[in-house]
Formats: sequence, C-alpha cells, structure tokens
Amino acid sequence: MNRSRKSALLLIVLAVALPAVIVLSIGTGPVSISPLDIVSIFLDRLGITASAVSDQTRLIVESIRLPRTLMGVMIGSSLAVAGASMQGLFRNPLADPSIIGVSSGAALGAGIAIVLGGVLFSGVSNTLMLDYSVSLLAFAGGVLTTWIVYKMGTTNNGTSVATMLLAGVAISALAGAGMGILNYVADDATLRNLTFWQMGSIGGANWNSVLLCFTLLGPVIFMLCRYGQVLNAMLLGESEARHLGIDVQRTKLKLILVTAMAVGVSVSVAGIIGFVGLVVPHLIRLMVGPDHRTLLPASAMLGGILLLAADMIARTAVAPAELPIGIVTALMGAPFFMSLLWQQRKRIA
Amino acid sequence: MNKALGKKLLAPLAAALLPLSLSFSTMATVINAPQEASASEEKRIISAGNGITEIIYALGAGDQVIAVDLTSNYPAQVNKLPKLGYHKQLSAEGILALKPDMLIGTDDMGPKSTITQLEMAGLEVESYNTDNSAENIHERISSMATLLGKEQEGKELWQSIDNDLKAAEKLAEGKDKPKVLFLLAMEGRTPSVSGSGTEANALIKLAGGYNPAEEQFNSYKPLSNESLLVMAPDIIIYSDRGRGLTQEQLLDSQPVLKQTPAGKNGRIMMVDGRLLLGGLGPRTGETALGLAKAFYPES
Repeated sequence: MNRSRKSALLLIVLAVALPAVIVLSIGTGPVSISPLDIVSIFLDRLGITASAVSDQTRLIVESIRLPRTLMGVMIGSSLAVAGASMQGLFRNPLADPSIIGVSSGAALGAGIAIVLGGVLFSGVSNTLMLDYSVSLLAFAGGVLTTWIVYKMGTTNNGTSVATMLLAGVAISALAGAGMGILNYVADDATLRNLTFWQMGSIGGANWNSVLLCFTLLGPVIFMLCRYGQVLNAMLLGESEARHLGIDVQRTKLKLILVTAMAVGVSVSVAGIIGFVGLVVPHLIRLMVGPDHRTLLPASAMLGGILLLAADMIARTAVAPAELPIGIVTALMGAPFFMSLLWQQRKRIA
Repeated sequence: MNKALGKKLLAPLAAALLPLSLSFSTMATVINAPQEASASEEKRIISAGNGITEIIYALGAGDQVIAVDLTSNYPAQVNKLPKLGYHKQLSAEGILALKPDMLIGTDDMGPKSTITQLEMAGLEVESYNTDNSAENIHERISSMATLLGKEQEGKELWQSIDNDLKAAEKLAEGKDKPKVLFLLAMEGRTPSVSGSGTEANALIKLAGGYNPAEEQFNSYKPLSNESLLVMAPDIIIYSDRGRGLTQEQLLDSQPVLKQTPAGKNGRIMMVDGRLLLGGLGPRTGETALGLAKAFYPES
C-alpha cells in the first residue's frame, strides 16, 4: 500500500474510532449504567421520548460523564496537535509544548494561586474570582513565559529556534526553582493540592469548562490542522521554506502563539497532563510517515482517543477513588512508546 | 497500512488495553459490594478525614460507615472498608457508586467541583472546620453527636477527654513550662520540626509544654542544627514513623541532638508519629495526659 492510501485509511479509522471511544467513555465509570439508559436519557433531552431513568443516573451522565468526556477530547486533541506543530516547527523530535516554557510557566502561575492565593486575594470577596484564580494565573503564567522565550529568541534577523529551545530550558529551570520555593513555604494541605494539581485531572469538568474548551480550543485545533503544507515546507529548512514563498517569521509567531493558547487553556482547566503531546505525533509518524497534512489531523484525533482511554482507566482503576490522569498517560504512554521504538529501531536508525 | 505493520502495532496496543480491561473487573466488584448491606434502616455514611472517622467510631456509629478516605486509619476496622483516596481528591462518581446517604468530612475535603456534583446528586454533605483547639474538638463532637443521634455518647466522650485535659493541666500547674520540640523523621535528611498550626504544636500546648518553634514558622520545616541549638529544647519528641529506632541509635545518627539540654538529660521521647499527626480527636485527651506525665515526671 502506498503512503497516501495508508494515510487516508488511518484518517478514516481514527474518524470512526473517536466517536466510538466517546460513546464508550460515557458508558464507563464506577456506577454501572446500561447503554439503554444512556440512549433514553439523550432521547429524552432531545424531546423524543420521556425516559424512566432515575434522577441520579441522569445526573451522572449529564453533569459528570458527558462534560468530562467532551473536555477530555478537546484537551487531548489540542495537546497532541500542539505537540505535532512544535515538533515540526522546531524540527526536533523531542519538542513538546513544554519546550517553549508554557507548561512550566503555567505550573508556576497555578502554584502561586494555590499556595499564596489566600494572601494575594484576601481583599477579593468575589468567590467566583477565587475559584478561577488558579486557572487564570496558570494561563497567564503560560503565556508570559512563552512571550519571554519568544523575545529571547528573536532579533531583527528573525527568530532563532535554537535560541528559543535553550531559552525554554532555562526558563523551565527558573520556573522549577519558583515551584521549589512554593513547595518550601506551603503547609501540608496546600502542598497536597499543589502536587495533585500537577498530576492533572479532568474530573472537575462541568459545562462551563466544556464551553470554554470548545470556544477557545476548537478554533485552535482547526487552525493548527491547516498548517500541514506550511510545516512540510519548514521541514526542509527555513531558507528553503522562504524560497517556497512562506512568510517564515509570521508563521513562527502564529504557531507559537496558538500553541501557547492551546496548552495554556488545557493546563489551566485540567492541570499538567504529560506525554500526550510528545507520544501521539510520534505514533502517527511511525505509522504513516512525517507528512504534516496527515500528521496534524491524525494527531488531533488520536490525542482525543488516548486521553479518553486514559481517563476511563483513571476513573475506574482504583474506584471508588480516582487516579490523577497525568499518571495514567505517562504509565500508558511511556511503555507503549518504548515498545514501538524497540520494534522500529532498525528502521529509524 | 500493510499487514506486517498492523501486527507490530497490535502487541503494544494489547499491552495498553490490558489495564483497561482489568479496571473493568475491579469496577464490577465495587458496584456489587454495597447492595448486600442495604437492608438496614440506618444511614450509610462516608467519612472523609481521619479525625472525623475517629469521632464517628468513638460515638458508636462505626457500623454505619461504608467507606473512608485514605487518611482514616484508626480504629483498625476502617482498613477493611473501601478507600476513597485522599480526601482532597475525591471522585464524585466513585462516591455515588457506593450509594451513600451522607458524606461527613472537614473543610479540607475536595476538590470543590466534586462536592458540588455530590450536592447536586442529592447527597447530604456535612463538613466541619478543624483548627486544632480543645474547644474545636468539643464543638465537633457535640455537633456530630446530634447529627448522628448519639447525644448521650457525645456527652460522655467529651467528658472523658475533658477529664484527661484537666488532669494534664493540673500536672503543669505552677511550674515552669519545659521547651519541647517535635521532630518528624525524614529519611536520610534533617528531621522537620513542627511549627505553629500543627497538631503536634497543639498537643504540646495541651500537655503544658512550650514549643519554641511556634513563633518561628508554621507547618513543618527542616531546621538547621544551629537553630536547633539556639532553641535549646528541654524535651525532644522524635517521631521515626514506626521504624522502631532506639534513643541511642538516634543520638548516633544525629549527634547534634546530644548538645541540646534534652540530649544531655536523656529526655528524648521516641513516639509513633501517627498519634500526633492525624488531627485532634477522641484520643487527644489521653495523648495529652501521657505527654504531660512525661513533661512533669516529678508531680
């Protein structure tokens, strides 16, 4: 089979698998709910039939599982497609969104809100503001560090991705030191909050956060998926891309901004979920090669699938307790990735 | 996609799906468990927070508890119950799957989103504030006793705690307060010292001691050897997290302790730290009296 037919097949398979996994995710959890009940709840919502399902079952489906599932898809997709874009832009297989400092900056922002929130916002009586302070500061931290990294890598001659990579490493170290200080001053209770936040969770999803994800992440995923042709050209080298008529500097700025947005929003609603952005694009590349026209949309879909699978494990493996999803993505992603590398090592070398 | 590649992908995919199928089987057992016991008329209670769990059992309502959080480990029966994970990381669906009538916990319970979801699902959620004072234990016990319909037991429980606390107070009466430091062992590192806002600090005070670290910092902080010497504790309470270290072994591994008044006079108490770490509760009176006897051996 040639590559383009393989790519088309993969896209079709993923496009079928994604809705299937979404349905599976709505049907999975510590409370057993029959598929029939779920169907009848939806039919009822659509005004077709009246359902005889108990209020609690309805609540679990409508207010817990459905938002959680939809948010998981959006976050998984945007992390994976952002990872694929960064790997393409930096021409570095190890690049993931954390390379431009966005994750570490977001973590520091959230850490400040969690540990010092009581002091910083003591004058704020608006509880809504307090509730969202972690998300807001996480987002601000992510965007701010990205801006610093971008500025450090940019001169009159344009942006140097090599300098940006180094600046990203440096600013991550700095943010790490900031986290160390926060860990040191935090008392036991906030320390646990901080640790859990860093391990990520989509268990807190509600319809507000779903709406936020759809309005902010939806356009971002769509936009990044259209960068296939441009990223293919960038893969040849920056001057080659310029000769092909691409405004390299603008592309870089746009991609970095959009990625910072995608990851910043994801991190601010779900905490840090590692490995999706790194592993998913590699899986796709190993299957169908590096053509970004396939890689970007396929990563977006597989990212959503993978995150939902991880979340299904997170919510059931230790029920009635729940595993932080960041642990599951790493536990699942890393061995899977290693075994693929092992099988393909000759081809890569 | 060619066949060979498909085969290559299948093995790791199966490896990734294995935990998924395992989790389905554990899920099934969780759902089946509660239905067997649902015949009784009493409320099915979930307790989140070890101080809360202890009070429920001390009030004699332990048989109504169907699940507890990870921090609850006393009395021993609770270890047989399903565990909900850490009380700040509760899962709404996990809790609902156990079909409880009531969730009792502390203000530390969370995340907030879970609590909101549980309240929306019609679960009765009661949360108590905990601030490490004797008045707070009294309030918590009497209000929980009312909630659980165990008023008489509540009064008796507080009476016995209060008697112990008063006895401890009496031992300390008219004497100079000894300087007491609580050290929490950290594997291979400088032990952490309890500052203000900790249970250990509250207990030291209830037992008639004075914790010089109280004014310096809150929570647990590693203390430099120099600061330790400056604080010059008369008594050191050392928690080795149940490793069973002897006083000699401790002094050998932390020679600086020998230079403190406590080390010189052999007044280092080795304790199982879990007693002093779990939040104040029904056993606080007993523990405070025990400490007071050690602080004031001559009376």
